[in-house]
Amino acid sequence: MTFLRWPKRPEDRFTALVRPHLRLLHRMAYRWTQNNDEAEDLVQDILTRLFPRVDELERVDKLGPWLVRVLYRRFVDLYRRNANSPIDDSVEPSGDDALFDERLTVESEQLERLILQRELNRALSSIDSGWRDVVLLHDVEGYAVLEVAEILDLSVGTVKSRLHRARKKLRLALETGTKTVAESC
Amino acid sequence: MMHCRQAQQQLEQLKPENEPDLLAHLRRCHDCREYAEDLRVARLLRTMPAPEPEAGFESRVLRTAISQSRGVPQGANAVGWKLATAASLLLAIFLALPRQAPTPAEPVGQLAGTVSPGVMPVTLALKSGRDLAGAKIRVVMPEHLEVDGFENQRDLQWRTDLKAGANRLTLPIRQRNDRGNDVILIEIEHEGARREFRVPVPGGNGAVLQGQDAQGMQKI
Ligand SMILES: [Zn+2]
Repeated sequence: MTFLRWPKRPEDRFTALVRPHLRLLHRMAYRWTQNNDEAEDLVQDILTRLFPRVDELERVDKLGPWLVRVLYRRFVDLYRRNANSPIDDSVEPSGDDALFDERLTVESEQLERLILQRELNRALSSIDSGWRDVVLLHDVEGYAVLEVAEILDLSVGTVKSRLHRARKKLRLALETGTKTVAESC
Repeated sequence: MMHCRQAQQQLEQLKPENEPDLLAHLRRCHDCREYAEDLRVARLLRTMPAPEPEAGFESRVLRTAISQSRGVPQGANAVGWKLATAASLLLAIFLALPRQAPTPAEPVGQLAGTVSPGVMPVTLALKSGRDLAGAKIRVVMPEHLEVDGFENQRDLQWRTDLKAGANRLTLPIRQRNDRGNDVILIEIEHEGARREFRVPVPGGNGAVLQGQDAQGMQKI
């Protein structure tokens, strides 16, 4: 007698699929929204939309980048008025200094690096969102150029040129920012 | 004299500023200074902190997502199979209903531990003349019954391997209402061939789901 495998309940399949990626999604949502509560809400929102699509999720080859892409699109829908041209958006996340200020008091041994990172975070929130998205995925999260292109629905050439220009701006901002910090201290 | 290639390799290692040769190279080479600056920014970006989610984040978002989605009725996703010739399949099906009504005291097959109250395990035996690897099983429930854990979904499909001989399948079935003298539709598809079984399930008020033992055999 053979016992046939009964299909797993959809909620169990869904949980098994997405749970390993939840922290990544939260982190990306935080990087985009710069707010912990909104990051959770955003993740919550896409999970609610994805649960009925569990069959489709099971067929996805690399689920991590796929989920980040879904998250990104939802973020654009919810946070950026002009979803089709992310360069001219009006609603922007502002650099969240709170996280850095909190750490500055705790981890004084890494003070210099944290000050620089805070400046960099401010600089990131000041550049065009289309550039920032590329930097966040490639330089911060370590996705390959090709993956970034897929997640953001851009050509590889566009990703590369945005990266190049964004880094230039960031460096400039960092140089100015560190000067300001040095003077004010 | 240090070359750009060496300089950039050293830059990629930690604490390159300790190397006098490298510093000398950087002083006269604009490209490598640029590279060093890029690396510094890249390293800072790579270690950019992000806060941990609030405690219980994973369970919380999953639970909410699943319960919210459940509130929305899902459209039946019947694929609409075409009738196929199935001469190569030789299957028989039995329906074994439990003698006692809704008290699933003992764990049944794969469902041990997942059976909830009010759920009646109904066992089907699928007899196959040979191994059927990757067979597709489709179960379509009648209106008045549902499979536990698959509410709002009357049409279930999945793939599994059928072995030659008897293959036991236990369905945790819950009665939705008292109506109906209906059939559970079972379809088996393997390599394009397909068989359909209609398993009569007596309807009525609970009593009808009792007292029948290994009934409803259909030879195909
Ligand atoms: Zn050089």
